[in-house]
Amino acid sequence: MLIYLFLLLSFTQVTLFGLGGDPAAQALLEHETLTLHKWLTPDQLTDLMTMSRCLPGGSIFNTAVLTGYTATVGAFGNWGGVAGSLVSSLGLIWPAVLWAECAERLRKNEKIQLHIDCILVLLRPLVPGLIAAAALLLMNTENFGSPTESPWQLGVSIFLFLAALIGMGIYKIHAGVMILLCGIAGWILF
Amino acid sequence: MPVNLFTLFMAFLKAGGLTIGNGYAIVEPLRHALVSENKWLTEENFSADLAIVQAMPGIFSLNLAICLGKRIYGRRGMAAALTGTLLPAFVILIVLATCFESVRHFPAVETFLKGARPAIVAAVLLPCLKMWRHSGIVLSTVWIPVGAALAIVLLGVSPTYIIIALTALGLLYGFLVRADS
Repeated sequence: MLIYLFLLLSFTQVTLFGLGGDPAAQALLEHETLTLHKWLTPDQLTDLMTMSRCLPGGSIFNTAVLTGYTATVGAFGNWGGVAGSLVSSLGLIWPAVLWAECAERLRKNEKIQLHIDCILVLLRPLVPGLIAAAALLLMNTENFGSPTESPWQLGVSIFLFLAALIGMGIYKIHAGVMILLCGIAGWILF
Repeated sequence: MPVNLFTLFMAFLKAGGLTIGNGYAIVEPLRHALVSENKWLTEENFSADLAIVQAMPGIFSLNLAICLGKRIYGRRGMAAALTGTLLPAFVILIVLATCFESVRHFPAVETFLKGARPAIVAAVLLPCLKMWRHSGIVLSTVWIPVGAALAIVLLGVSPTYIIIALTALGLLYGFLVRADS
């Protein structure tokens, strides 16, 4: 049962400390689910993210709901899994309500505003670092294939990774479309 | 339409809950529903809230629903807006999650997912490259992103600790600046 408490605490951190918006929250989510609690393997997490991005709602919220389900369904069955995803979403929601209450009061207070500016000087450069960490935590043999056991998968994965980066970054292809295209390429190449 | 909890819920359900796409995709449908169609908010109010939400920590779509719902109908409005935004995704996700593990190992699904994984990683990394240019990183602050990324990946340090430490440093810096002026 302790796992429900950990789910609540983990996803609370994601929105309570996710300064820098969705990309920073992604790094927190990956740290909690992959490094700290090992609820999912990296390939399981990316598969859940694939599903999350093709559905309505924010991708982080969706990933958290699916993580809550997957982490608890093995031990507690289907309804236990539903409870896990409810607990995870509650963990995400309450800090957001708290921040909304604070936001307007902080804006109006000039003394606090100065402190916020000083904190932002340090936090703004941190966000790209958090995103890089989020990407690096997913770059491993589970997601890309290993050079000794599956060199073909590794080669194709690196090619698809670069193609997706160029496609979305330079040619502005929508992320959902790009993921779909790479999935179809996977059908053909694997 | 007059504003009550049900109409508010329905507006957020249609505009926020059924829009596919990441984060910012819900802004335009919401602006249309709340400002143009129902006139519950003025354009200025909407833009002001949007600016606040963009600077808030956490998940953009959640924060936006909470702030706008609260602005329109107080705390109960916040709950209605939040439910409207999250309910469709939640229901679909639960249904999908129950069948996902059993179809995950079908060859067609497995090869599709293998191809999609590198693209997901690319989609995660992409904002880093964009943000690097706009975040004003200079030689004196470049240690922050590089150090943080290495600590999180190699040492398994929690991003939470890094954020708390930098916030504390920023506060200290703030008190020094104020002592100066």
